[in-house]
Amino acid sequence: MVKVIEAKKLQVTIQTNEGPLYAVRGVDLDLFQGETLALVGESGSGKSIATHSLMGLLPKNAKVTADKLAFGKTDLLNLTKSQEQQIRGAKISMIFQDPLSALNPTMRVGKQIAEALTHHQHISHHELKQRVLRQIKDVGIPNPSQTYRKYPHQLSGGQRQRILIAMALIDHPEVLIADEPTTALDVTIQAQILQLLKQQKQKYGLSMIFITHDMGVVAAIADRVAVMYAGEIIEVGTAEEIFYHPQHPYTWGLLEAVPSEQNPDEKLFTLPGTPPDLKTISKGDPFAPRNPYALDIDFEQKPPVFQLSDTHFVKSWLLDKRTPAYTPPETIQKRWQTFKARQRGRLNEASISV
Amino acid sequence: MKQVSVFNVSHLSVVFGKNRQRQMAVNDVSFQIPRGKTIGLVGESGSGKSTIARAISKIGPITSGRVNYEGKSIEQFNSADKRKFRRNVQMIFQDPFESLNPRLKVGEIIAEGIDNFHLAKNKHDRFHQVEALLISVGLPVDAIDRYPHEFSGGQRQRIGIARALAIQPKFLILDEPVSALDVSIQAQIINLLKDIQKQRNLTYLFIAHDLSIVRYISDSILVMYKGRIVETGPAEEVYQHPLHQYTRSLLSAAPQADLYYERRKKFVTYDRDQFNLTGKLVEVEPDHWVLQAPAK
Repeated sequence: MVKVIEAKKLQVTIQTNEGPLYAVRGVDLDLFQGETLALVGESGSGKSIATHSLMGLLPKNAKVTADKLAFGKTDLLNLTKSQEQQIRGAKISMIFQDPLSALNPTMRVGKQIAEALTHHQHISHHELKQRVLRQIKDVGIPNPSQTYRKYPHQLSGGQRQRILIAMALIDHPEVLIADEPTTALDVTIQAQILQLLKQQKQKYGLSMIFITHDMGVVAAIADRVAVMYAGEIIEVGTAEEIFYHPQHPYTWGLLEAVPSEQNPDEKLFTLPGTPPDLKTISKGDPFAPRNPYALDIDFEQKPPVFQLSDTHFVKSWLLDKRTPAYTPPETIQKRWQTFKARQRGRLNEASISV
Repeated sequence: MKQVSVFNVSHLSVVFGKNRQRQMAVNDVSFQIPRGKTIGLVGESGSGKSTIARAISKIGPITSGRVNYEGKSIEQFNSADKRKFRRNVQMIFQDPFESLNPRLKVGEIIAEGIDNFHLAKNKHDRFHQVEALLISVGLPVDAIDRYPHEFSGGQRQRIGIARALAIQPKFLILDEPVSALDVSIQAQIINLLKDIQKQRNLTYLFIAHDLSIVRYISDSILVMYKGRIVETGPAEEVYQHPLHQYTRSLLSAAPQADLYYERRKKFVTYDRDQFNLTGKLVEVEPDHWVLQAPAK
């Protein structure tokens, strides 16, 4: 598989008045051609900042270091001005959570979409307009010529997000970074936008990084999932592995927090406590204070990466051989059973075909 | 024993604008909120759910219909009634970033209501009340001397809840209290609200756009669309056996943390042009009502 984005030991440190903030702490991340990678975590886990470093969107007081940060063969850490123009916003594009603040309130949306086209100065006015109208239609807005003349405030939240998607995709980028694009929307509109993104991805062979805190949304869109906590990726795997064979207690917590068929008389499962302060680096696992499964060693030493399959990596001491036996929450055990049953099914299928 | 309703809303309508701009935000809505229970009000943006919340809490207009609080119409309140109402009915908003005064320390934000209603005997008592409130919503006591911006979204929502509880209300209107929060924090706040309700025997009106969240906290659910109630019934009934096509579409739109389910899922679509504003609510099962179009 072709890697479109490759990050090795990515670190982002932001200098603040109260000292340095270690927002991203050594992240290894690959994005393969044509896949949707969901980057999951709570607010303050560093998921947005990690991806903003790809776009060069970080504030001046942020320092980005990495052993490698590349888009295809291009090194993103040392870009020339002209390379930067060719890549950021054109080859790698982005959509945001709040379309109202991402759009210019005093400019008609048609013109804003036109401006997003990098070579918009070099084609005729008529051609440009036709291109924009086609683009508006492409993102599923009926009567494009009316919408072309509207201002952002005249559109609904869902339509604004569609306009933002139109802007992000008009240059036919190779990578789309979607930073919580549906968090501010109603569930019905959210479902429509997810549908639109899937369809556009298929149509143009996009590779996508989708940032969210909602495992429900992840299930709807992701091929692969990376879970972030305190600036680190603590578990990464295929969507199947993360949903049905999750190993990290933090991933368990995220999965259980989404209301499902559970009895309403029972309490919703919650992770105790709040995300950690990114100004301090703890000696052990930063998740240990919130982890009901924490071992003594979690407070002493950072866990190494354990590999479960070609695609599944976990940073948790639970997977160490010396760890005493433990039982994950009941709903997670059920998920593991589903995983096992599926695998057995697949093995049988394979033996039959042989 | 007959259930006592805190609120009794009958044929409530709210109209905004005039002539061509005329908008029926709420259209002939009737419901009761029994004491100690939670009513979930669900619908998309623009369905009129917040307009109802504003109307019954006396901060928004009522065009026609009646809203009774403890048996008395809220439009015929005298000044003593009003004062009592202001103390008994409190609201918690969606955005914990905008609803807290950034210039006041958390202790002062919470104590404002205590001062307004003279609920503290002395300074000492005032401090202890604030302290007890912070503990009851799961915040550290040292929050008293800190400012709202020092807290995360979930913690700020806890501050909002402590502020509402400070004047010992009987009824809380929760207007999308968890929509702006991370999923993992949403569950914490829902659990907290459930605990507080039990401890203090509170009555809730819980507003949200997502049925699966409302189900956890509500005894019964009202589903709204374009200002009308399209379906109402016991929470579990509405969730398990939705009758109106719109309710079904709302349920199918909420993503589940289950990959295989999401991959197989067929969305229920709702044809919005089909919606008939003149339909009538019909009781299909006991207490379970659905809006049906009039026979042609």
